[in-house]
This record gives sequence, C-alpha cells and structure tokens, in this order.
Amino acid sequence: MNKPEEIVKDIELTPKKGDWMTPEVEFKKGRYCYGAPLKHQQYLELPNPREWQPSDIDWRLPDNWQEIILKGMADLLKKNRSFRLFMDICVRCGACADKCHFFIGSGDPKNMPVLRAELLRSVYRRYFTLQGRLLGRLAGARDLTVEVLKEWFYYFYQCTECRRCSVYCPYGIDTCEITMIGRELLNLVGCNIQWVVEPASNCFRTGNHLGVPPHAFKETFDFAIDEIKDLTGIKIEAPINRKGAEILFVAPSADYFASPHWFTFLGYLMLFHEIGLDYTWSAYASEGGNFGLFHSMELAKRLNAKIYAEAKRLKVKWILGGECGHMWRVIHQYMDTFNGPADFLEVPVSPITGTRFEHAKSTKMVHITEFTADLIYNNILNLDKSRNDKWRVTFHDSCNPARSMGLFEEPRFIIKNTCNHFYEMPENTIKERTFCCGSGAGLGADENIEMRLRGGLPRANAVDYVRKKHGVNMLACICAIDKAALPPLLEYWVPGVEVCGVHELVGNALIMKGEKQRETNLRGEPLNTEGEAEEKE
Amino acid sequence: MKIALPFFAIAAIVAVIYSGVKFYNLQIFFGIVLPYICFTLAIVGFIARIIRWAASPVPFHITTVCGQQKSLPWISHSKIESPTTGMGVLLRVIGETIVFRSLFRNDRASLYKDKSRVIYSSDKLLWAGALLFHWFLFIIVLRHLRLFLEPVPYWVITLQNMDGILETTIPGVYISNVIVSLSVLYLILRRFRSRIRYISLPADYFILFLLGSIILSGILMRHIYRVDILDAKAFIMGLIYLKPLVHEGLGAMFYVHLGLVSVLFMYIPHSKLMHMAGIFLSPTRNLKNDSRMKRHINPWGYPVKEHTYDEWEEEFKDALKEAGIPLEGEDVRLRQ
Amino acid sequence: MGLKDILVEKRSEILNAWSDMIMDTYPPDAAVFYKTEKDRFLNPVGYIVNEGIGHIYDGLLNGGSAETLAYAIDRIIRVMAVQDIPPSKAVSFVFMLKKVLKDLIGIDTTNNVIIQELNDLYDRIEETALVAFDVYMGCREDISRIRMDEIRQHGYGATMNPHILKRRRG
Repeated sequence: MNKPEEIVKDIELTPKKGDWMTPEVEFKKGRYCYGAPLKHQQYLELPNPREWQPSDIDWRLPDNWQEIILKGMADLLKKNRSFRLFMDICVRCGACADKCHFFIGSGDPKNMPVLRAELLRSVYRRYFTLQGRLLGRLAGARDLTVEVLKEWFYYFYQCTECRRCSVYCPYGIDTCEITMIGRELLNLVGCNIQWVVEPASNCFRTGNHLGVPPHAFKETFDFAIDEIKDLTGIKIEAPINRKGAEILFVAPSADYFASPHWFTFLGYLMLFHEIGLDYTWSAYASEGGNFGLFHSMELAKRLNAKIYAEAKRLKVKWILGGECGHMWRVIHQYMDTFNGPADFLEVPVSPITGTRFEHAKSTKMVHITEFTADLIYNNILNLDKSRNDKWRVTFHDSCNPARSMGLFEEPRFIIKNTCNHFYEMPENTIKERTFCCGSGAGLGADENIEMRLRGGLPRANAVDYVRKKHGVNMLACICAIDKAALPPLLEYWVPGVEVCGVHELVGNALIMKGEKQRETNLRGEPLNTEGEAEEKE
Repeated sequence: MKIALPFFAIAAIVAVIYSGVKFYNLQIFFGIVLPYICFTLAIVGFIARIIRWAASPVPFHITTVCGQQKSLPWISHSKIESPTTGMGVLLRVIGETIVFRSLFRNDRASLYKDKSRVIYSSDKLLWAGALLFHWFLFIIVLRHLRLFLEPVPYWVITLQNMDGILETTIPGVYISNVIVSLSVLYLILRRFRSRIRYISLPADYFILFLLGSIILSGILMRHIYRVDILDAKAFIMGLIYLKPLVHEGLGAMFYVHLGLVSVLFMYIPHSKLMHMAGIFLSPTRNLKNDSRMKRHINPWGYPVKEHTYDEWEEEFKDALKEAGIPLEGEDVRLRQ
Repeated sequence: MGLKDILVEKRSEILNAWSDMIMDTYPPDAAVFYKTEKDRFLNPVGYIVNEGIGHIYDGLLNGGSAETLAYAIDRIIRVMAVQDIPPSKAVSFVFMLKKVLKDLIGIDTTNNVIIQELNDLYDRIEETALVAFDVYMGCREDISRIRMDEIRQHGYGATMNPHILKRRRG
C-alpha cells in the first residue's frame, strides 16, 4: 500500500528557480481578466480591434507591433517626465518589494513593484540606453518579444494602481505610473480587458458603467424615493437634469445600481433633503467613476469631459462628488488639467454653513465627506448615534482618496459622529499605508476572483484582527469598487463583517424633521438591537 | 554570473591600471589623460541626462500624498507630508534627501505575548545602512577638498580633525572610512540575500564593487602604500589648473585610486547613481498637494473625441421624455 | 520521558522546522519574506501559517477540540486554496510534520511504548490531512460560489440592487 507521504514525494514541492529575465507566463483560469469584446473596442475606436482572449496562443497582433510599441514608448518618454525618470533612477534597494498586496498574498516575486517596473525597464534599456544596446542581457536589457508582451499584460493587469509602494520608495517611484504607461502601450496593439473597456464604452455612450438608459436611471430614483418614504414617512425629491440648481451632484453609478452602495445612495438623498440643498443629479453625467483611467489618459479625458460640460449646461455654481475612490483620483489630480479651466463655476461655498471650500477653488468640486463633515462640525445635523449601535465599525481608507488626496480625517469625523462604536485597524494598514481591496484599477472581474482574493488577504487579515479584538462587524469605506469587492473578499476571509459607505451611517443616524419613528435601518433590519451591542462590550 | 562578472570587471580595471603604471610607466595616461576624459564625459553626460529629464514635461499632478490634506480649517493639516506651499515641498524633498524619510517609513507591528498589545517598531536596518553610507561618503568627499583647495578652508581642517579624532594608530584612522567600509559591506552582503539578489542586476553589484575598491584603495594608500600628501596635492592642483605634471613620488596605488574614481565618474550619467539628481525631479515628491486649488497645465494636452450632451440627448430622446427628464431648451423643473 | 514530554519540550524547534518546510514550497524570494517578516499585518501568510500549525500541533498532542483543529486547518488551507497550489500539494503541509518529527526527535527504537505512541500520532496526522483535504474542497467551493454570485448579479463586481435585478429579469 502506498503511504500518503510516498504519494507526496511525487508532488513538486520545491519551486522553480531562475531569474526574472526569462519571460514566463501561464494564463490560468481565475488569475487573469478576459479580453475586451470587439463591439466595445469598436465603439471606442480603439486600435487593432478584434475578438481576443489572453489565453489564446496567437494574440493576432499587428505585423509591425514591435515598431508600434517602441514608437509609443519613445512618445511616452517624451511626454512624461515620470516615465523617463522612473526608468532611470531605480536603485533596486528593495524597499518596495514587500509592500504590494499581490506579492504579500501570492508570493509571486514578479509582483514585487520593483520587478513590475523592471518588466518595462528591461525593454527601455534594450532600445533606449547605450549600455543596454551594447551589453544586452548583462545590462538587464531584454528584446521585445511576444513573450515579454504577454508578461506585460499579465502583470500590468495584476496591479491595482494603489500607489502603496510609492509611499515607501525613497525616490517616490510610483508603480501606478509604470502600470498606466504599460497599459497605454498594450492598448496601442489592442490588448485590453473586458472589465475596463466595456464599462468605459457604456459610460461613453449612456453616461454610466452599466449602460443603463435615462428612463431606467430615473426609475431607480423613484424606487429610492419610495424606500425612503417607507422608512421615514417623508417624501423626498431627487431632481435630475434641473437647470439653474446651485450644485451638481455626481456619484459613481454603482451607488444607485448596486448593493451595498444603494444604502449610501439613500443616505445622500436623505441628507440633501434634510438640509434643503438646491442641487441636481444629471442623467448625462451620471457616472463619477472613470474606467478610462485604467486604460489610457485619452480615454480618461474623454469620459471625464461630461462632468464639466454638464455643469456648464445646467449653469450650476459648483460640483459635489460622491463616495468613490478612483473617481476622486481623477477629480483631484486630473480633471482640472484634462478639461479645465472651470472658469464658468464659482468657488464652492456651502449654502448651509457658508464655509468656503478654498482648497477646491480651482477645480470647484468638493468631496461629499468634506461637505458633510463641515455640516456636522457646524451642528447643522441632528444625529442619533444609537441607530448605528448594531454596528461596530472600522474604516478602510480607500487607496485613491488616501494616497492621492490625503482624505483621512473627514470620513473619520463623520463616522465618530454617527456611530458609538468605532475602532481603527492597525496603524500600518491604514491612512497612507492602507492596503488595497485587491480589485482596483479594473481588476474586479469575476473571472479574476482568485487573484483578487490573494490581493485582498492583507486587508482582510487586518479586518480579522479588529473583528476578533473588538467584535467589528462593519467595514465603512468611501469607494464604490471597495463596496463591490470587499463583500466577497470578507465573505471568504472574514465571514461576519459587512461593508457600508460612510453616508449609509449618516442616513441611519440622521434625525429628519417630521420623520416617523424609524423601525429599521436603511437595510431594513430592525433598529432595536441595543442588547446585542451591549453583550459584546 | 551576476556577481562574478562585475567582480572580475573591477579586478581587471585595477590590474590594468596597476600594471600599466608599475611596469609600463603609463602614468601620463592613467594619471592625466584618463581623468580628463572621464571627468569631461561625466560632466557632459550628467548635464545631458538632466536636460533629457527636464525636457519631458510633467503633464499631470501626481503627488503621492502621505498625510492629511488641507481642507477644512479645523482639521489639522500635515504640512510636509501633504504640502501645499513651496516651503512644505522643500522640507519634504530635504527630508527625503538628508534623512531618507520614505525608507524610514518601514513600520513593523509586532505582537508580544500579551496579545492585546501591539507594539510598533521600525525595520530600520536598510535605512540606517543607507543613511550612514551616504552621509559618511559625503564627509569623505568633503575631506578630500583639502587636496583641491589652496589655502585649505578652516572648516575642512576642522572636519578632518573631528573625523580623525580616534588617534589610535599613526596615521590616525578616520571614523568615516570605517563606517563607509562597513556600510558598503552591508549593502553588498544585503544583495547576496535571496530576495534582493533576485531583483539585482550585474550593474548593482558593479557599482558596489567599484565603490568598495575605491574605498579600499584609499585606505591602503593611507595606511600601507603611503603616498606623500604634498605630492598628491601638487599633482591634483596641476590637473585642476590644466598644468598637469607627473610626480615621481606617487605610487601605483594612487593611480589605481584615481583611475577607479575616474571610471566611477564616467559611469555616473549612465547608471542608477543618477538618483542623486533624480530625486529632486521626482513628480510624486516635488509637487504640492494643491491640485484642486491651482490648475496644473498639460503642455501636450490635445482635444479628444467626446460624446456631447446634444449627441446624447438625440440618442436617448424618447427615454428622456418617457422618464420626464427635462430636455435642453425646455427649462422644466422636475418638482411635481 | 514519554513521547508527549519530548514533543512539548521540542515544541518551538519542531514548529520552526515545520513552518520553514512549508514556506520553502514558495518561490525562494517569497519564502524568505514569509519566513523573516515578523509583522502579522505585513505578512499575513506567515502569520496565519505559524499560528495555524501551532494550534494543529497542540491539538494533535493534547487531543484539542475538533473545532479548534478544524479552524486552524481552515485558516491555512484557505490561503493555499487561492494561491495556485493544487490540493495534493496544499494538504502535504500536514504530512510535513511527520518528516519533521522523524528528523528532529531521536527515538529510542527499543522503547515500545514510545514507538506505539508515535504510530498513534502518525495516524492522527494522517486523519488531519484527510480533514485538510475536505477543507480545501470547501474553500474551492466557496470561491466558485462567490464567483457565481457575482456572475448572477453582474454589475461590475457589485451585487445589483433588487430593483434593478427585477427590472433586468422582467
């Protein structure tokens, strides 16, 4: 009889050794995202459109694909100091190596940020530097082969552009930039993923990622209004495309189409009603998110243009933005550059408190947590924290608002004023050192689930810690991708912890004028649960 | 291979210079021609590289923010980690260059036996090694100024005296030499470790071996193969004033040291050592976090194809009417 | 000295060797990281494995509760199940304990009591491995279920809200 350990002997236990210079990629199910459908490539007029899958042996690249990529590289080097600099100055000190959630979770050494960049840098050396041309492999240079291209695709679509490594790099080298450049280059020869191109194409056409037309968009608002009526007895209004409103409100479309985002959406509507905000939604600019950012700067700009255009058309004074991560990367760091100057708008002033949002005086767009924190600070809102007593809350800093904006205290201030039980995760996993959900930058596809679960392990592990220590059962965040990606992630790693937006907590705690006695929270769960929370103390 | 090749390359350079001087009397070549060529190439290459970087614009505002933004007046704002002023940026970049702020960020939380207590410490070894190496290398460079300046400034002499304060041997051991040697050794050994070894290229070893051999030759020259300091100075002053003269008293070790330094200088513009200049240009660190306060201009920004409101309304007219959403032109308020 | 005393005495030595052996199944560069990074938040894989094998070891020794044992196995296997590690290889981490024991404890082969105890322990290890196999399959089922849920309620990763779902179906 074979003893188990004898069977085990046949299993390959020692990992393959070798150096990273030899490209080696295997597209296994669960670990890569599907290619973009032809229809959407064509709608966006992307280069080299074709039906295509990364697992195909023949990628049907254009005949002169190398020339296209190298030309593209030369062009991007000329246009981006970041690219040129980051290619030249890395000293491979390794400080970034263990900062990537994909490396931590998977152990795949090519997920070390330094190596992700080396994939591109090796080609840069080969074609753009003297020593690379002369010494080749010895100088760390590689020829641009199909295998190298495949490796680029595999690893540049295994980076969530979370920028955590850039915090630790002594020269500020930002792998997000490298990944963006890598994806731009891949796009030149028509290598895109469905999960980025399809929502981008939908968004370009209809205004939102799901491609939901205006009447369906309006319908969800009617549902929300009904739900709020049932909950509070108050019939609120949600104006759409209303000209002359003071403020245009733009949120990620997931807020009104998806769950648990939906409850955040209810929270916004209740808040705006309660303070009597003169505002409007837009069916044309009905998407705050921008999947173009995960594809190319050009596509990001094309999608982003709608927000200012709509603000101009509706003649609003300024713009308020909902809870979304990469949307705020675009708004905070790109929008003004892309589609500004917004000289037809005014410096945002809160009509309720009179606070002038000087920090947004050029872009003229304010983050909802900045707006609400200001309301709470000025004692405008009547809040009953105990309505959130069911939850023992922790806050997950979403990568983009954290490392691109520095939006740390505003959401925390709101949570502390709407909840009685708030617990921070360990210090080295929050704020600028926060761990990504593992599904950002367009990687949240269901077919990519294994990779996402790996990438999300460091975040989930920190959640697990506060769950065990403080009984945390609710993870609040301000990002639509987080709200989509974290529930399955936590279901796998830390069952029993739910996910919500910060404005869901606001909606729960908000005592509205003339409301009836609330029996349930926004999720329809009974409110009277003080006993439960006490028990855990 | 990755390690052996750079090692032998350095060994070959040393052997060529040493034998060239010792057996073929090529002092003029290694002492005068080579330094002139290398230093010219270094300066030209360095400037060319900087110009090349500067020629590429920074199209987008990509600050990596590491602290609370400046927003509402009652929220205390992190003035250096999320700078909004030129001073803030300056302090941030200075923090990166003189104390290696970002390397210092490597926090570790370790759980002690009492499981409820989390204690934070920092993995400071790389930070300390790198910091000591850079600072003491800088001190050594400053100390060398006594060979380049006449009269020797007072502060150089003071620095030298402080550096040599441990007069345990004659001539005294410089603290900086000891520390730099140890830190280079640490940086080399570190690259032998598995994870760092995987990411290292031959060039990474080459540069460390080169620096190591320069330091070693310098130390040898001071303690074993003594070189007359006045001769050395006269020789160097000759080089500086473009009146080079070969001095008899300088031994082969001097030429090895000088030759290696020349090679290093020539190599700088083509190597990762350009990080010394690059860090000041790094857009994630040298931009303010003020992108909503001030518009950042993209010099190559170009118009893109948009889906305009009019096109959109045309496409969804029926749906909009069905939903009762006001169309352009009809300024109907939605209030029922 | 009985087997148990030996095992208690050499606990940390055995656990270290066991842990190292598990980590060595990763690429060397990752293995170094998993072995040396002591921060439980920066190195969840290392932390989970070390915590887990500690529980399993104690459970095997003291006949700890089935629940604790299952939980510890689940934690470790849950990680491996998403890491491109096939079931056979994942489960092998349990058998590695046998190898470690053989290498590390000098057994007096004439002492029949100890040999008997050791054989019993080996049997328990094998049973544990069978449990681990079940756990692995459970984790894979979790993954497919999570994925199927996403596909069913496809909304760019988000679970669609009930109203939209109704509308789409109708």
